[in-house]
Amino acid sequence: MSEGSASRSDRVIIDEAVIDIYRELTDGSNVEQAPFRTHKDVFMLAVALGFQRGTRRSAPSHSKHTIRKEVFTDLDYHLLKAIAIATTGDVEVLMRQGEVLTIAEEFAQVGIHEVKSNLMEQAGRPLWNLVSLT
Amino acid sequence: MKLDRIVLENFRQYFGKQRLTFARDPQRNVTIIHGVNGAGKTSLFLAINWCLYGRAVDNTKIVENVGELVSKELISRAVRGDRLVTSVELHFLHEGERYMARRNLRGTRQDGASVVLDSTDHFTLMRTRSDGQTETIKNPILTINAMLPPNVRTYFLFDGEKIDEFAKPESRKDVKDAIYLVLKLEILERAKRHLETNADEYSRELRKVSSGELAQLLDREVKAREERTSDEAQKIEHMRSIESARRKIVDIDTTLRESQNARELQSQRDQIEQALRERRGELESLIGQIRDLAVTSYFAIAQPAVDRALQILDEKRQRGEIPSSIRQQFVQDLLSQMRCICGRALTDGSTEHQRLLNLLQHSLPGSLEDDVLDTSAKLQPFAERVGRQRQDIDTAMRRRTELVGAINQLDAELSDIRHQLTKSPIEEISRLERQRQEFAADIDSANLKIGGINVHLEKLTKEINQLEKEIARAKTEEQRANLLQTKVDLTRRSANAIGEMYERFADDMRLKIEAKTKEIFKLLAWKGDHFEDVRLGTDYHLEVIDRYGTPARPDLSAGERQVLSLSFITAMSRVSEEEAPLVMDTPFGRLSSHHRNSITLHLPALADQLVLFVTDEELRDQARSNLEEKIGFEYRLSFDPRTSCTTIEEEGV
Amino acid sequence: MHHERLRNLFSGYEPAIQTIIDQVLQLEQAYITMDRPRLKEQIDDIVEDVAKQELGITKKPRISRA
Repeated sequence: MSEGSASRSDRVIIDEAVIDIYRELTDGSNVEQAPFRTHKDVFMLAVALGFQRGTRRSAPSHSKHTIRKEVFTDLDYHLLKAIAIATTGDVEVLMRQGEVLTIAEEFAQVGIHEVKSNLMEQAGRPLWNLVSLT
Repeated sequence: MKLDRIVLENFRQYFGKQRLTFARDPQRNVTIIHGVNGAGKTSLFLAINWCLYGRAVDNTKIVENVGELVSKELISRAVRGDRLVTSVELHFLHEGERYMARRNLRGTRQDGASVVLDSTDHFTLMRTRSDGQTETIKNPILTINAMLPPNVRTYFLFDGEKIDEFAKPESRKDVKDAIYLVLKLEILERAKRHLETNADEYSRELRKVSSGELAQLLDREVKAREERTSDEAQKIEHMRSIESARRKIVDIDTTLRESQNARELQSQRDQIEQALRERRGELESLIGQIRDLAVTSYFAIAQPAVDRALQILDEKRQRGEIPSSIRQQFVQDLLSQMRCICGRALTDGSTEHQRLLNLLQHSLPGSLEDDVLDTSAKLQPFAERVGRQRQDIDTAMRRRTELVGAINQLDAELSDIRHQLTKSPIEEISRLERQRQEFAADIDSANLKIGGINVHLEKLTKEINQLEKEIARAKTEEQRANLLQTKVDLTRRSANAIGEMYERFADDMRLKIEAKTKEIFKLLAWKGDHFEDVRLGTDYHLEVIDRYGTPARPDLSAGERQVLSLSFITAMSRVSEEEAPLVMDTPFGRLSSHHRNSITLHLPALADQLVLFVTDEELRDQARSNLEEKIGFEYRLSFDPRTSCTTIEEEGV
Repeated sequence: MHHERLRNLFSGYEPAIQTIIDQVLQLEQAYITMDRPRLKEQIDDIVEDVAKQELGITKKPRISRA
């Protein structure tokens, strides 16, 4: 459970310690090796896997690496709202935009390690490991 | 500084307010103040010092016990609880401007003739502007100190008892200190010291700034760019060799196509290769599609959250916690019109009104409600979308498997054809086929190399971008280093310049003072004294040389020593060009009459303003008549033993 | 008086040095009655100004630290 994580309502924080995972999955022209187009996509996957795992952890309050809210699509954001409602069991979380993003951040903080082990630490290339997740 | 007048109030034995005006006229610049010992000369002298500098200055006490400054007569006449004031007011001119300094001491009379003084005295300095208005000076202490620095005051407001100080054998340090302070050599020394301290600090900082980093970075950048250029050149080389190999293969294919024995196999090969190209193209684009679908698979993974959220939203709606927006708005409107649903008017505080208010309060705030409805609506189609995506991926993956299979199959067929052609009984065909395979292998290896070069190029580009950032930063650092270096340079050179000039200045001053002292000494000393010269050596030894060329000092009479000191003081005053009054307390007490006469004859011309506190015995006869023409004001301090009070009485001149 | 005399003393040195010395001496004069005045920053201000001029760096508006 997290308390007092900096609640920003305009961006999410990516821990500097894991930024390399994001870079490896997005850098370069090889689609099978680095299937993700943007860090946002990696983030969303991390959130989903974190939620699936059921654990979250608070993110650092400062980082050079952030994703601004505008980068998320409407569908993305609705999904994050759904996750926030499902996690808190409470509809009123919708009034607190900061909390929606914070919860997402916290799931991603755990989920990113799932991303790494599922996509990069298995045999085969990341794209195919990704496909086999669903 | 030129003294104008002083007003004492309840200061020591001066009960009540007493005034004294100082002679300022250039022709008549001498003020004489008579008084027997104990009459109040010392107190008056002290009043001037205390007014300007307070009870202590620079760790030197001017007044031992401030309490004893308060007039005893005042205390005895007061009763318990009375507020008492002791003050000295000094009017003076400085550089043409009129000033008034005033120092107050207040206290409260207690029982038993004692006073409890306020913790501090109160000092003000005011200046009269050219338009006649007075203004209060904001930094009175600093200003006074700038006019007549406290550490040099003893050379101008000095105690006659100390008059022979400078000519004593052990007085070398005093002489040096005097010159030093009066001539502000201290300022030069401090400036040099402080500049050196700053220079050391700049040096230390400079050492911390990494030197040569910029050069290294630029080096690395050049190397990286060169590598990149060379990589790109290599890539082009490989691409050319691929091109050339391809053309050779095309030629071989043409030849084989035209050959009767190989025609058929070659034509099969042509078809298979065409099919392979198409399949591979299809596979590439399929992989792209799969990527696009897979990247959004987080929706599928997180679908359980959507399901759960919809569940919660539904529950809330069913419990009536999410009224429809219509109902909400309706209730609002009703309330504002104060009407019941059935149309009757509502009265404030009635049960209907209360019920409607409750309805409103237990619903969610309007904006949240909109959000909730909106979210609910948007989340509904998620499940279906996810389902479709899954199907699309499945389809694509199956197609991929098919394609990969087809490609493998075609590859196998190609391999077979190659094998057949190689094994052809016809020498030519076999040879051509083998060559073809070599060229194909060359192309493969060239492609591999190109792949490797591309990876390397990506790395280099990243490195170059990083270096550019670091170079920009290093350039700023370098600028800073340059600035520091310049500061070190300037500061050290300034300190050195002061060092170089200091000695010259000090010596220059020493010689001037020596010359002036000699000049004055000759003027003041009695012709009968048997000396030839006055010397102020580099060791700051002040001495008189007799006609035999030896230092005469041990043989100087008390009077001669005093005159030497006096000469030194006045010489300093002249050389330093400080405008200051020479205030002397019983200066002639221990002088012989011939010295007294000599001094009284010449001293007025040597000082801007002369104030002499004298006993009657001191100033008689010739001495008196020497000063006569120069006296501007004359006073007597009249002491009344019954009251122990002194009154300042002016005497006609 | 003194100021003139002191200033003339350094007339043989280049302008930048003269400027620094002149200003530092004025500073020392103002604080002469203090036993150990802390003038490091004020002297730094003086030196930095002159150094920047020497290097041709444009001066930023100066905030007095006194």
